[in-house]
Amino acid sequence: MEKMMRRAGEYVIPHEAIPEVMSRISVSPEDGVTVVERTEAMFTTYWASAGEVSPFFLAVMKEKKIIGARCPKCKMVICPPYMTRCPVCQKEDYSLMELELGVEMPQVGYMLGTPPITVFANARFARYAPFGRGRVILGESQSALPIQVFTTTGFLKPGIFKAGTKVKIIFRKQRMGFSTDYFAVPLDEVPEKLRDKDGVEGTALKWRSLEISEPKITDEFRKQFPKILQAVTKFVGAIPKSPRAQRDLANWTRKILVKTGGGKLGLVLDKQKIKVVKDKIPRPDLVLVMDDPANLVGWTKGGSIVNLIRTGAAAVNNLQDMETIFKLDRLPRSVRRDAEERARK
Amino acid sequence: MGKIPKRKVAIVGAFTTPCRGRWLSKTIWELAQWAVSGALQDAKLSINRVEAGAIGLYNDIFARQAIPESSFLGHMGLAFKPLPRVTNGGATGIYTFGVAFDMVASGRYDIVLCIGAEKATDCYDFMSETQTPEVVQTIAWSWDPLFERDQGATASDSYAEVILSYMDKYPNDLKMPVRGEILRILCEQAKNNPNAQRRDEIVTPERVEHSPWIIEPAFKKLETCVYTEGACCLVFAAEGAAEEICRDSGQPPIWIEGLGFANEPYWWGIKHPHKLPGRIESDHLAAKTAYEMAGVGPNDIKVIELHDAFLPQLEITMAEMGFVPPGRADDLIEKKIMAPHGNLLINPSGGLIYGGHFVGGSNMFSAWSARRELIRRGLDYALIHGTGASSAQYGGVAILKRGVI
Repeated sequence: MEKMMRRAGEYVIPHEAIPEVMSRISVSPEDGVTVVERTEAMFTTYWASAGEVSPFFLAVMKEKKIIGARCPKCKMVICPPYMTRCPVCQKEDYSLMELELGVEMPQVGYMLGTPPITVFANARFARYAPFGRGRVILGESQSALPIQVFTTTGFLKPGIFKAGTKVKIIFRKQRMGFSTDYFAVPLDEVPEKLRDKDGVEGTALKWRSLEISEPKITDEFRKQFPKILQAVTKFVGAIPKSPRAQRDLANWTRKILVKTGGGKLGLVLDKQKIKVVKDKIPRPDLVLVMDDPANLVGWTKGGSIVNLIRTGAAAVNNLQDMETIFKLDRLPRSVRRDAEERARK
Repeated sequence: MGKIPKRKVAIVGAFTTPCRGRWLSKTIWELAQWAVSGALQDAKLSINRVEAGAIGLYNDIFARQAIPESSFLGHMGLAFKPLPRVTNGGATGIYTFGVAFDMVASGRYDIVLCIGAEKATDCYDFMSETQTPEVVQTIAWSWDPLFERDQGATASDSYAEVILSYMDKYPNDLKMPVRGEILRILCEQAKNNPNAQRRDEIVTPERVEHSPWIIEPAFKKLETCVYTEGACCLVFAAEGAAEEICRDSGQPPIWIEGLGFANEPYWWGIKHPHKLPGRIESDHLAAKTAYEMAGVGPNDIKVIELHDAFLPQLEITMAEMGFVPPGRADDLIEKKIMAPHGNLLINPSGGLIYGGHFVGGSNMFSAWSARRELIRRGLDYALIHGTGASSAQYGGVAILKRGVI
C-alpha cells in the first residue's frame, strides 16, 4: 500500500440514512388490510479497485492532469480512457487493437450539450441540490468526460452552461481518486491569467455567493426578537442530550453570524455543541441573513434553512459552505428523535 | 438486423393488476401470481399446458433480494419448468417480451408466460422520511461507479441530457404548451384504463406549466413517470396452438408481427461508436427493425403504447420512430396527428406517466393495453415501445396485429 487517504468522519453510508431495527403494524389505506412492516437494508461495502482506469485517477490525484487514450490505427481519441482496446479496429490476428494510454489532454474544452440542473435529487445527493452535471469534450477526444459543473457566481441557473460553452477543468485541493476530484467552470469565469494554466485548483478561483443585502429591520421584528433568541437558545441547549445531534456536528467548527430584521445573534459550532452569542460575533466564518427572525423558530421546529435560501427568504455569504447549513438543518430532527426515544424509555 | 422467426407467435391472453403507488397489502410474490392467474383465466388455459416462462424483474434492490424470482417461480405454476429472468433497465419489460417471443418462435416451446412484476416503493429514505429520494437513489445505482455515480447521476438527469441536447439542436421544438396538451390528453385517457394509477387526477397545460422543476430546464414534476407497484402477464402461443386457444377463449389472437431491439453505447461523444447528443438512436433502430420484420411502416400503425419515462422523451421517440420529422415533434398536436385532435391513438392506457410504471412489467402493461384497444376498437396494427438504462440507451419495439378467430 503506497498511501492511505481518508475524509475523517465521513462515511460511505451516511449515519443519518441508517434506520434502527424497527417494525410497525400498518393498515393499507386502499383495502384496509393489516400488515407488518420492518426496517431492512441491503448493503455491501467495498474496497473497489479502479483497475485499468487507475492511471486516469492517479494522474488527477498526483499531477492534476487529465489523460485520455488513442487508437494507433483509426486515431480515435477517448477521454476518459474508459477502455484499453479500440472496439472498432482489429489487429491481423483479429484481436482488438490496444490503445495508446496516457495521452495528456488540454484542460480547456467545451460542453457537449446543455447540462441538466438537478433540483430534485436522489437521497444521497439531496443536500447538494441544485447541482449540475454534464459532459465536456477536451482536445481531439471523440468521447465526452462526465463532469460536475459549477459557477463561481452563485447558485447554478439555466443559461450559464450551454452546448458549446467553453469550460476549464478545475481540480479540488483534496483529491482522493473520485470523479468529483475535478469539475468544470465556464472559462469566462476564470481569471485570464489562469485560463492557459494547467492544474488550477478550486481555491485559486474567487467564489462569489449571491448578493446579500442587510435585513429589513422593523419594529415588529425587533419586538419578536427576544422570544426568538430564547427559543433558539433553548433548542441548542438540547443538543448535548442528543447523541444524533452531536454526531451531526462532529468535526465541525464554525462561527455563524445570523442577521435578522429583529436583531443579530451568533452561533458558535464547536465540540459537538452550539453556543448562542447575543448580538455580534467577531470574524464570522459564515453570515446568514433573513428579514423575518421567526424563520429561526421555524428552523428549531424542523423547517429548512436550505429551502429559505432557495426561495430567497434567506441568504448566506458563502455558498461553498452550504454543508454548514445542511448540518443545521439536520439538528431539529435529530434532537426530536432522541427526545422521543428517551420518552419511550 | 433481425431475422425472420421460424414460426408466428400470438398473444392469446393477458392480465394486469391495478397499478398502485404502493401495494402495502401484497408482496411481489402475490402480485406475480395474481397476474398469472388472471392471464390464464383470460385465455381459458390450463396451467399444465404452459411449458415455460420469462420474467422481467428490473432491480434486485427494489425486491430486497438477489435472484428474487427464485422464491416465487413455483407460485406461478412454473415449478420444474424453465424461467429465464430478464433485467435490462427501464426496458426490462420489452426485452422480456423479446425473450418470451424467441422461446416460442424458435420452436422450443408452444406456450410461454411472459411476466413482469415490480415492487419499488418499499424503499424509504430515512433522511427525508419519504420514499421517492430512495427510489431514485436505487435506480441511481445503475450508473457506473467510477465516472458518473459520484457526480449525482440519476435516471432523470440522464434523460434530461437527452432532452436538452435535442433542444440544443431543435430549440423551437418541445414547446411547453404542446407538452401540456399531450399531458392533458394522457391524463384524460388514463380515466378509461381501469388499472391506471392516476385515474382521479386532473391535469391541464397550465398546471403542467406551474408544476415544480425536477430537472431544470428539461422537465417538470407533472411530466415524469410515476413509480408503481404491480404485475402483468401475457400468454404467448405458437401458431396452431394460438388459434385453438383463441377459439376457446373467444378472443382474437394478437400476432407479434415485428420485433426490434438496439442498445446505444454508454459513453457519449461526437461520433460513433459513441452515443450522440440530440438522438435516441436505439428507438430509431429498434423501430426500423420491427417495421421491416412486420412489413409495415408508421402509416399503418393506429395505436401506440410508448414508454414515456418523461414527456419530452415521448415526443423525441415519436420522431425517432418516424411518426413526425425530427425537430417537429410538436406536429403531434400542431398538425393534429395525435388523437383526439387526429387519428393516432398514443398511450390510451395513460402511459407510464398516468397509467403506471412498474418497471419490470411496464412494457407488458403496454402490450396489455394495445391488445385491449386493438380488440375493442377493431383496429389492425399497434406498436409497443420500451426504453431504458442511462440516457435512453436501450430501445425495443414490437408491432402487433389483430388476427381473427
